[in-house]
Amino acid sequence: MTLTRRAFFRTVGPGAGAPSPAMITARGREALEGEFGSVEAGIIPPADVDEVRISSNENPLGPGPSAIQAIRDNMDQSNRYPMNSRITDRAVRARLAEQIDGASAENIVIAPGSGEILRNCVRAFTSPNRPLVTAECSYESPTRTAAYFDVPVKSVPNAADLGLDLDKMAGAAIGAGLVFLCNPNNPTGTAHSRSDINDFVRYVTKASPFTYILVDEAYHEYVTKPSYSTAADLALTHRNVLVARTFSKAYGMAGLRQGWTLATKETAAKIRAYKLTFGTNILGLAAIMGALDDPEHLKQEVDRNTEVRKYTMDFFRGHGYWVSDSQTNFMFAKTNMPAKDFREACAKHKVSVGRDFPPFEKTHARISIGTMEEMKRATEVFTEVLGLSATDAGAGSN
Amino acid sequence: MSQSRRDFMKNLGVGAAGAYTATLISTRKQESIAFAAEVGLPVDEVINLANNENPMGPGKPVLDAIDRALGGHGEKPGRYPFPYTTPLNEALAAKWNVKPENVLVGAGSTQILVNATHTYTSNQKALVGSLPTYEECFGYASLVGHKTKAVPLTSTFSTDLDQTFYACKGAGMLFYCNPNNPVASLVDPAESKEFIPRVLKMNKDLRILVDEAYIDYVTTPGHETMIPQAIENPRLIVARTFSKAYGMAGLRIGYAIAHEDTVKELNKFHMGNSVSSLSYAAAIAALERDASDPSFIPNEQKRNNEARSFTRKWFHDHGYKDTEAQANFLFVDVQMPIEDFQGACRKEGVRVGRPFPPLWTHCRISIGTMEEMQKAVKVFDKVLSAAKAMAA
Repeated sequence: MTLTRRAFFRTVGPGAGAPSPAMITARGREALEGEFGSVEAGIIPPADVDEVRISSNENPLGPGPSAIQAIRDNMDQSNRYPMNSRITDRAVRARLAEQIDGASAENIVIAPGSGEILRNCVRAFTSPNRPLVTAECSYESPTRTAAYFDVPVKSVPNAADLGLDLDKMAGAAIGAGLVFLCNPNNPTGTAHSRSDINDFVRYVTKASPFTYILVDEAYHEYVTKPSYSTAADLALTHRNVLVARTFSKAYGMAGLRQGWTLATKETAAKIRAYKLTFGTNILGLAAIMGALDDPEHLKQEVDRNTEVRKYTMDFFRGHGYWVSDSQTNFMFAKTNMPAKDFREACAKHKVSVGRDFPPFEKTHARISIGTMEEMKRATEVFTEVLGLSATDAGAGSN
Repeated sequence: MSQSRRDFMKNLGVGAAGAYTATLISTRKQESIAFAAEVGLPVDEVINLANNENPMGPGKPVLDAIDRALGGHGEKPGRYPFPYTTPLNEALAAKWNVKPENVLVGAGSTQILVNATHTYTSNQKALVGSLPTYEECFGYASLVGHKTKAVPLTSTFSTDLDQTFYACKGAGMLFYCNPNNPVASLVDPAESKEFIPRVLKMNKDLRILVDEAYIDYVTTPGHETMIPQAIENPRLIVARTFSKAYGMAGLRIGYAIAHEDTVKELNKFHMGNSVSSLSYAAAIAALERDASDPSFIPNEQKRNNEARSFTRKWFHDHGYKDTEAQANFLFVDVQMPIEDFQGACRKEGVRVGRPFPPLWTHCRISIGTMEEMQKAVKVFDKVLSAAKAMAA
């Protein structure tokens, strides 16, 4: 709790629709823990770095016009519970099911963000006798839930490319309650091929039939690696496999709190048992319907991210820095300096980058992908912070 | 409430003496199934008197605030809701004259209810509440195998304070829903004020979760919020919601007011980042409106009271007995099987409340607009007359 408050917490300026000025206090931070796991400094971007906020893997452009229109069209339903509103939870589940071959509404559980799905999988499938298996450097939310419920955690060190070490995780999975398989992995941005996932599922299903596998595909839409594909069909055919998705990333709805999981009906029911009653707000549900009507917008967002991601990765590589093979809307760069120092130095230039990610917090930084304009500004700041010459290797060169 | 949770609890075989009955809990699943299998009317044409919603909505300043929270280019929902959390805590603290540290916001008071049940009950320390009452706490306790003790209401459908007092011996938490959903009854204000300190004194480990979801609709003189006592006593928690009089059921936002230490304790079972930025903006706007023009809630109470009085009078005039409704719903003995009544009303485009066993002939009817209630009583007349004709 020894946060560098003077540097990282500040007064929020009143923008259009923004709340009145206020300090981000301890309560604000605690509210973040559920989603982000750690109370490390840097979770909340300071006001004076709002200019370029590339710390939380948010989509800088928000949802598409059809989603925004759907919100406006359904504001008059704000007084109705999600089972009564014009667009119901069930209708959205049915619509989501249409996107996936062989799925029906009963295969889907909607939650206020995929964070609840992750928590509830830990609750449903692990126990003090059935550990959680995760990677050492992965999204921390399941680990935190496990700690709360006294569930042992087996953290498997990442592979040399900072991807998941699937062989070692498969070994650790024997007798475990749940394997958390973040693919693509946050914070490293790496993605595994479909054949790797197939092999993993086949091995674990056979060697440890009572172990569940949660494939977190929060960043699924951003993947460009040809060998990758979703594990959705595995979730429909294996009672021990679940896929989690979110609308917080490529769909640009982090503020609207909508995520979902796909599983066999029986497994979905196990998660639904823990679902928060009336959990999802109706404007977010409406936004999903609007967004799914405009697949072209999603494609544009993915193309935009791919271009800006390449620009940013090329910047680091051009200056001789190692970066992981990012398949997401963020990248993990080996800046060779503590993430805290890098973050604080960037903050002085109104650029907010990601928090610490042990065990790489002394050498690596997670940088979310903003707009091209934002990343051009950010790379200028990185140039200064890392003590580079702007001329010796330009962005976009090899 | 999800179907599977109910099935799960049925499988648990919840049915020990004093435990919440599986039948009661499992009927909640019928709600979503019934709605899903709706007879084909668009939602806008249905008179929905099933879920105690405010038919008027949150009001223009709130809807305008939601619109502004989208941003000029619809970009703002791309960001997580963090910047809103402290301003809402501060606005709520200002409203109740408490500190921000006394406030805990959740995705509806539902999340507060779950969190408190999780934190303060166990397989040793029971959850105590009325039978029937709002099921969320009992549902969660049953799901996770915590002990439950349900205390039947008195013959007048009031909370049985004497029996509740005895049930609280050795218990972990009392869920005190006042006015009580689904029966709409309020504990006599003087008796309530005397009862709460007495039971807290009897059981020094007991927590009381006072659910004030419907307090804005209470018209009984002398009834007051327990918030001032809650901030003084770490064993008393008040749950409030924006779902009822504030007209935001679909936005999923509610809160607890409690002692600072209690808020910290509840926070250990972290609830996640479940509240939408648009909902935060809406709640903040509603509180700003309250601060500058406190007439919204009194007006809504008056509107509800008129429609409630009209509906109650109709039932009384036709020979039906109900409870002394102190909420935005009433609880009436329709003298026919509730499922038949519900089904017949649905066919006429009126949705009424689900069954609340063991009260198989009572119906919970939410209060819509006066116009809606005028139409609804015509449907009730038709349905009840037909049932009488059949029986004759």
